Amino acid sequence: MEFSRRQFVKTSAAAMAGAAAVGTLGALVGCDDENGGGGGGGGTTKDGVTSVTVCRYCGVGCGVLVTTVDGVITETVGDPDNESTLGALCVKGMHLASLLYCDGRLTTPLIRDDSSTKGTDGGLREATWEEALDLAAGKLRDTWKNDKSRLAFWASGQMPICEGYILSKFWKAGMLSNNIDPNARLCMASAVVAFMNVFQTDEPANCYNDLDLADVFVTWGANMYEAHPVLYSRLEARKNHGAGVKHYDITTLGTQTSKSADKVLIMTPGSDNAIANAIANYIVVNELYDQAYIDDHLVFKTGTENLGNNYDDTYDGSDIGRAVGAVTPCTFDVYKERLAPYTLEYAAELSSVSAADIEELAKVYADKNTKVLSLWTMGVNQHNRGVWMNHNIYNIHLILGKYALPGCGAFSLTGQPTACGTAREVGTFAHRLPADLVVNNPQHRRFTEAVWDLPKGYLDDELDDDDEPIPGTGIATPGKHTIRIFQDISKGNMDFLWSACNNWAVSLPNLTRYLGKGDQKGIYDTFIVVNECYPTLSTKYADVVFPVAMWVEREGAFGNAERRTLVFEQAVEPPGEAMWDLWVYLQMAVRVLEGEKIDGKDAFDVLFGFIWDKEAGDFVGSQREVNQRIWDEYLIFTNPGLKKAASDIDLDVDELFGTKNDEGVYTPSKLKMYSKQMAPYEVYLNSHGLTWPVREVNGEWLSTKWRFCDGKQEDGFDEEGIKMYGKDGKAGVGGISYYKSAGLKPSVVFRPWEPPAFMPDEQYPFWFVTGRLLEQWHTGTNTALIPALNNTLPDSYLYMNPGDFDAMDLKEGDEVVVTSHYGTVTVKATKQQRVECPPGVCFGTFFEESRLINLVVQEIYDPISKEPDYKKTTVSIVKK
Amino acid sequence: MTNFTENTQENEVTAAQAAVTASELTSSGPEEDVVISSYLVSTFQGETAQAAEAISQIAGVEVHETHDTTLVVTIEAPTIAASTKVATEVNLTKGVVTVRLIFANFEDDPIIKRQLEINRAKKVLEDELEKQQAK
Ligand code: SF4
Repeated sequence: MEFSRRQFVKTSAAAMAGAAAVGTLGALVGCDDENGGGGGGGGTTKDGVTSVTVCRYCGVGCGVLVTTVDGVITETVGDPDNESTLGALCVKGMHLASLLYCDGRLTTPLIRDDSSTKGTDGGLREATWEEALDLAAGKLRDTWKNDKSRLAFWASGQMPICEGYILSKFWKAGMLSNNIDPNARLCMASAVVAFMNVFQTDEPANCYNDLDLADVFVTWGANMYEAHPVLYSRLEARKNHGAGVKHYDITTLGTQTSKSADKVLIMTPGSDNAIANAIANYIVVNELYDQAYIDDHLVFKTGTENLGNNYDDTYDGSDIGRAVGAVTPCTFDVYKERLAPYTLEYAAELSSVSAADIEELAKVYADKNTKVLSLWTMGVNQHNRGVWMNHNIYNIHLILGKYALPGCGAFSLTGQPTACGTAREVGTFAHRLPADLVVNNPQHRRFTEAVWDLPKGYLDDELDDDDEPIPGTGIATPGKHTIRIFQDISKGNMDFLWSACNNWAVSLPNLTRYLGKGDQKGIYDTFIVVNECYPTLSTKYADVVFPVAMWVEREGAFGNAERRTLVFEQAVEPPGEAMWDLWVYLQMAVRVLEGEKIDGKDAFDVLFGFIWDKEAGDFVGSQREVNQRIWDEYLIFTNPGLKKAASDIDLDVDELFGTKNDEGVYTPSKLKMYSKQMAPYEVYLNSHGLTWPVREVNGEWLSTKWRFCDGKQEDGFDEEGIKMYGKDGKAGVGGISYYKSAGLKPSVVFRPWEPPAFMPDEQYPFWFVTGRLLEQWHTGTNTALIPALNNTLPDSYLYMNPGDFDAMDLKEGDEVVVTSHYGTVTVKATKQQRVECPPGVCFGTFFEESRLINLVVQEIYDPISKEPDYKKTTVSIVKK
Repeated sequence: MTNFTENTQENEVTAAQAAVTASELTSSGPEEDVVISSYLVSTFQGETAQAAEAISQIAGVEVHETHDTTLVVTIEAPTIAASTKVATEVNLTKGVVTVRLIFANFEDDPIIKRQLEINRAKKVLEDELEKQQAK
């Protein structure tokens, strides 16, 4: 760089950071929004083009402005107009561009002719798109025609929204299969189930602004410093500037997050439900709850207990396995009685946290003048009682009337950039349809048929001679969840698997089984198709690899943890023959659905004719137009008034789904689809993201930051939602009205403590906890390729307690063999204190392909959410 | 085990986070390749001046402004990789709570430069082909 330019860039860099420090970065690098959000502003390069985008790494969803010169990204600036993150990025934001240009990018379709080469470095040959598509589509169609229970798609929380929507439509309406499930099953499923159980609507009521407003933060099983860095910076800023602001960290091991917390409660793995119940019990025993709020807002329930665990594959079908989700209404008094055994002392005994510390935390929660924000991630969700722990956090907040208020509430953080936007919102789960609808509800299926122009009943199961539905013939029965899919693959019960935007061969638990190690059969008999950008361990097991566009090589939209939907612009072209995933889905769909009819019309055209021209073999317009058309259709789900047929079902106009009382008075079943209202596509293009529900007020589309909390819509409150569906004058501050919950009342469900699936014993004396560290993200596919990140954290160490480490006479970097009930892996051990393990606890990250720690991780999952418990495998450790 | 109950920052550099050598960073001429980035560095109350002083000793780092407990910092380094190492070192400096990246120009990073060269050469070829086809 020439000296004068260098000076200019450096001066600009300092000016931008200076402006960010005082909140005026927007004025310096603000975008020309008339040109689709970007096109101007930002950057130091006169002839560069600036695009509005969002980081593709974690669930924080930081806004990024990228500058492109000659088709290459040369500069990034944190997007000051993105209200989620206000111009801040973490260190990974520096590497977003190089991620596109690393060596080894997949640019040509690949085919494996000899399946015995699976799992090796070789065996894949280059092919044309035509050949690869014909082969993969032929296998999918054959499987579909032969036995559609033997096919599956493994989707992702990294798949842009419109892509996930079309994929879900292809699977659910095109092939009438529910065997599609996202990798979010591995990280967010417990949170999703609890949201639906408690509020009957998914995703948090609170928002990131609460990090600037809370008086006390309580992190439960969340290492935000490493996994949600920009949010953690915001938390720290609040602590640093707000007088008396405190942070309590409840964790099984000391993390970088713990190091700056005011109080750290180190608990025995799996004891969090006991602590949470002891807090709730303290609140009820000392009558610190808000009785008026309880009377006005809440219902109480109990649920099935003594759930056991999935020690083998028969669990889901067993009596208890089928009953795990059942709940029964009860009174507040019964809830109190059930809490009674959870004294401070009992919780202390189970958790090793002192009774005094639990009491202190209970008092903090209960203090009427303190705004408390609970935050959690995988420590709570990846848990054999993860749904229950989500419930128990809500229970504390709800009985105190401390939820959905500015600076006060309970916030479940996500791990992937669009786990909310795609995996959860457009129906890529095995039991879901778009916009929180579920497959086993007839009204939800009718509504979906109306939006998708399908004949009434098209999505239902066929009836047998006795008029009984035949499960699996339509989509009225949920499909296979992630672990079931891979269990069936490993037993030879699946013929076709397709995956995109994930790396199952590294991220699944019990890889010993799925990768066929030792005497395990593995996945060799299944025909596997993988959409990928770089070679991964999953592509080593693929029969066909489709090379696809990455991040801003196409236009897309992500939805982050605070319900912010943001459209990112295409900034550069994909390399070689790599294509947009959406193009691949439609090329497959056109082949698979060849000759199929819906109501006498061409099935493909009914479903996808609005975006794909079969004659021309291409999209009907530009990427922008295609995304816009998809969004226009998806928009009907949350704006049913756009289509009369959908609106009629939303309002139950024909009186088909409601109930009649003894006097014959009919109460309609209203879906309240506007509760998740989205805005038209062009509104997103001209903004830097909006948090749903988005409301049109005086011609302007406005975000809702605090759902269910009354106040002016322009200030981020849920004025319009409450006007539409809620009730005024209910007890408590904030004019709260939980308008999506049945009877406007969320459920407090008593959830007990039950032990982990395995406890340390003589054979396996250590707890093994897995997680993420800052520089490496998930399975490393987006970070290990980048030398700067990989060199900073090149190895997946086993972090050990120094006493345990020394007792085994280990030296830094010595190899140890870690063995569990499930498998064995060799890793390097360390007693470095980046992660501070209590005695008997060890920790490992799962990014490293050559040291697959998931070979030993248990296959145990939460019986309700089916989310695996990655945090409590019991292992032995032996020096190699 | 460290006493976690106190508000302290351990700031140890792990084996995997080796410090950047001065030779990797020292600028020696006007035409050198350089990756320029800017950060907001949050510090603990009462430790800001000390942290600013320590950070400014790191090769390639300049502290431009202080806003309350937040420092405005630029980093100059020859590559994105070297720049990241410096940022890590800043993050691990005593008194620092977190660092937030605001801006990064990496047009001189070898990976980005290589891609620019490829794209420019491709453009020349495409233009040539177009000309020939027009003939
Ligand atoms: S990785 Fe997460 S915190 Fe870091 S820049 Fe990306 S979205 Fe923001």
